[in-house]
Amino acid sequence: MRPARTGLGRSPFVRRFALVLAGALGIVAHAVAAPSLERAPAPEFNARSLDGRDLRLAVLRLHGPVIVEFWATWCEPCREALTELEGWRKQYGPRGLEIVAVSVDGPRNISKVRPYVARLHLQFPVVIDEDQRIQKCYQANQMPTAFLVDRAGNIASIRVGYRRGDTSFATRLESLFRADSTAASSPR
Amino acid sequence: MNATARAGGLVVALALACAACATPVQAQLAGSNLLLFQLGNWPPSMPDRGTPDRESFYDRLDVQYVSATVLAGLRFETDRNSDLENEYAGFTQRFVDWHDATGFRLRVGNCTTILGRGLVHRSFELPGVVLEETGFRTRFTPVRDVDGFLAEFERGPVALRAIGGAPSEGGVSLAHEEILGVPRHHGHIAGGQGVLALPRQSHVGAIVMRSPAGIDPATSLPRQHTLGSGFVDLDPLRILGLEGPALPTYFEYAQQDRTFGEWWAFDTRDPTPHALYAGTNLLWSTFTLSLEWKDYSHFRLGTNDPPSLVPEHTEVLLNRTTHVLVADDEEGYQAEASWSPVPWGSVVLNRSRADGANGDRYEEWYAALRALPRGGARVDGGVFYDRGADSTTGITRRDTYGFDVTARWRTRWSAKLDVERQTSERKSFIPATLSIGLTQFEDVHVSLAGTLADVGSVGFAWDRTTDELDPSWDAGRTTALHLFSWNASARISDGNEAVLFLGRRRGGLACTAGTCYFVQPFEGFEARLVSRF
Repeated sequence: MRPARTGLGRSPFVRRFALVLAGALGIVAHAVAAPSLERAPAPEFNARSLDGRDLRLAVLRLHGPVIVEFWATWCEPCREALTELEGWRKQYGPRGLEIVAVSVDGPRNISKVRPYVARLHLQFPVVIDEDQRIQKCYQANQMPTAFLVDRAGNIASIRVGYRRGDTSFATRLESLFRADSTAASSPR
Repeated sequence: MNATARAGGLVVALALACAACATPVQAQLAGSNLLLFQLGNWPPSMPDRGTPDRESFYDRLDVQYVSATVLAGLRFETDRNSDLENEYAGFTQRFVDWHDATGFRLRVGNCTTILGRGLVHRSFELPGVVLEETGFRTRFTPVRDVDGFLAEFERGPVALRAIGGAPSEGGVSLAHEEILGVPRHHGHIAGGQGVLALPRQSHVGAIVMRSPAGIDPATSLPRQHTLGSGFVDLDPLRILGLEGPALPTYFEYAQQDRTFGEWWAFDTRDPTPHALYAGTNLLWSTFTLSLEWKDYSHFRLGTNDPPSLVPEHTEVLLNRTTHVLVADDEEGYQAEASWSPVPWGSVVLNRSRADGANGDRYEEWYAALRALPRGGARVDGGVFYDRGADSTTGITRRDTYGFDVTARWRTRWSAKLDVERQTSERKSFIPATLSIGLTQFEDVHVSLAGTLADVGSVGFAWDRTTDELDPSWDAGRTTALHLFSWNASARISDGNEAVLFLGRRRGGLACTAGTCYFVQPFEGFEARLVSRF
C-alpha cells in the first residue's frame, strides 16, 4: 500500500517551508548587498601538487589570473579540456596565468592520475583532491568544471562541461588581462 | 532525518540567512540546483512500474555560505511523482566547517573523508549522480557520509585527522526515514589517522578505526570492531637521488581486531580479516607503467572503499560490463602501460584480474590507440579492443571493439561519432534442452552528436542488444531489442544549462567516479536543468 502524500498543512512541511523561506530571504538579502554574483570570492585552498609543490590560491593569484580545473581520469571530455589548458599555459603563462588541475579521482583511479598527466604532457600543477574537500567548496558537480579566478580572488567565470571551440571562458580570460594592463598603465 | 537533525538544519539555515544579511566583503552565499523532470516510465518489462505516463520531478538544492574561514552548507532534496509513490522533501545535508591559520580545521554535521587509500574508511558522495531504487522506488543523490565531526590538524611534518559519528552506506533516500522510519545514518564509528612526512616526499602513516560489529548475543549490547592499518608512501628513486625517472610507490596493510604484534605478522591467510594494497608507477619520459596488487578478505565494512583494481572505462559498453569489487574475498592485480611518443597520440595497454571466492575470476585485456586534439587539427579520435571474461556473471568470453572520431569545422562546429560492438558468451540454463549451455549475444552502441560551441549540442543514440537478461527485454521477445534516443543540451545563460532526452534509455550497471551503481531503464521525456547562482 502506498503511503498518502504528506498534507500541506502538516507541521513538517511548514517547517521545511520556513527553512526554505529563511534561505531564500538570505539569498535575496545577499543579492541586494552584492548584486554581481559572478564576483563571488573563490574558496581558498591549500594543496600539494604531484611534484611536491605547496599550492595556495592566495599566493598563485598574486602572479595573475588562476584557472582551477576539476577533472578526472574517467571523464572523457576532460581529456580535451586539459589539452586546451596546456595550450593556454604556453600562450598565457608568460602573462601571469596560473593553472591548477584538481583531480577528483578516488582510490580506484588514483594510481592512474600520474600516468594520465604524463600521457597528456601536462606541465601545469596537478593535485589530487582525494577527500573531495576542494571539489565540495567549489560545488563542482560535473566534470570537467573550470573556475577562472581574478587577481582579487573573485570568481570571474565558470565553465561547466567542455565543448570544443567555446569562446566565452577564453574571452573572459582575455578581458582580465586587458583589465590588468589597463590598471597597470593608468596614472595613479 | 530525525528531530535533532532537523533542528540542526534549522540552525544552519537561519545562520546562513543571518550571515548573508551581514555579509562581509570576502564572504558570499553560493548555490547550485539540479532539477530533473520526467514524463514516462520504466519499460513494461520492469515490475511495479505504475502508470506508463508517470510524471515526476526530483530537485536538489545546495546552498553554501563561504567566507575566509567558515564554510556552512545545506542540501534540500525532494522527489515527487504523479503516482504519489514514496514522495519526500527535506534537508539531507547540513554542516559547518571552519579553519584557522594554525592548520586546524573542524567540521560538524555531515562529513566525508578518506583515511589512507580507503581500505579502512572512505566516505564520499557522487554529486552529479541521481539514483533510483527498484524496490522502494525513490530517487536521491548517493552520499556515503558520517553524521558527526571531522577534525584535522597539520603542523610541520605531522598531519592528524579524526572522524566520528553515525555512518551512512549511502544507498537509500530520505524517504526511508520519512515513510519507513528507517534512519539513513545508524551505528557509530570513530577513528583517525596520523601521517608523518619524511624527507624527499616520503610519508608513513597509521590508521585506527572503531566500527560496528553487530550485537553481542551474550549481553545484547552493540559490539565494535577495531581496525588498524599502516601505510608508506615513497619514491625509492627520489630517495636514492636519481633524477629523471620516478617510481612513486604506495603500500598499505589493514587488519581487524589484532594486537600490534599480530599486525606485524602480515597474516594474509583467508580466515584472517585483512586488506592489503600495493601500487607503483614507473614514469620515464613518455613511457608510464602502473602496477597494483590487492588482497582483501572479510573486509567489506560498508564504510570503506578499497581500490578495486579494475579499469573504469569511458567506452559505453565496457563501462556497463565492469566488475564490482567484493571485498569479502578477492585478490588480484592491474597493470597498465602507456606510451605517448608525441603530444598528440598515445597507446594504452591494460591487464587486470580479480580472483574471488569459489574460484570466481574476472579478467580483462584492453588496448587503445588515441590521437589527441591539437590546435588546428580537424579530425581526431581513437580505436580500442577489449577481451574479457567474468565467471561471477557466467560470461566465459567477451570481445568488445570500437572507435570514435571527432571532426570540427568553421571553429565552432564539431561532430562526434562513437561506434562500439560487443559479442559475449554466457553460461546459462537452456530451456529447450533442460541443460546448462553457452548462449551468445551481441550489443551495439552507436551515437552521433553535433555541437555548436557556446550554444549547445544535439545527439542521437542507437543501442541494439540480443541479451535476454537486459532490464528492458520483454518476456517472449525473439528478436533483437532496439533502443533509440535523442538528446540535446543548451547553455541558457552563464549559470544555467538544460539537458533534454527523448526516447528509450538502456538500464544496467554504470560507473562514475570509481563507484558502480544500477541505472534504471527509462522510456519517455526527461529534462535536466542545472543552475548555479
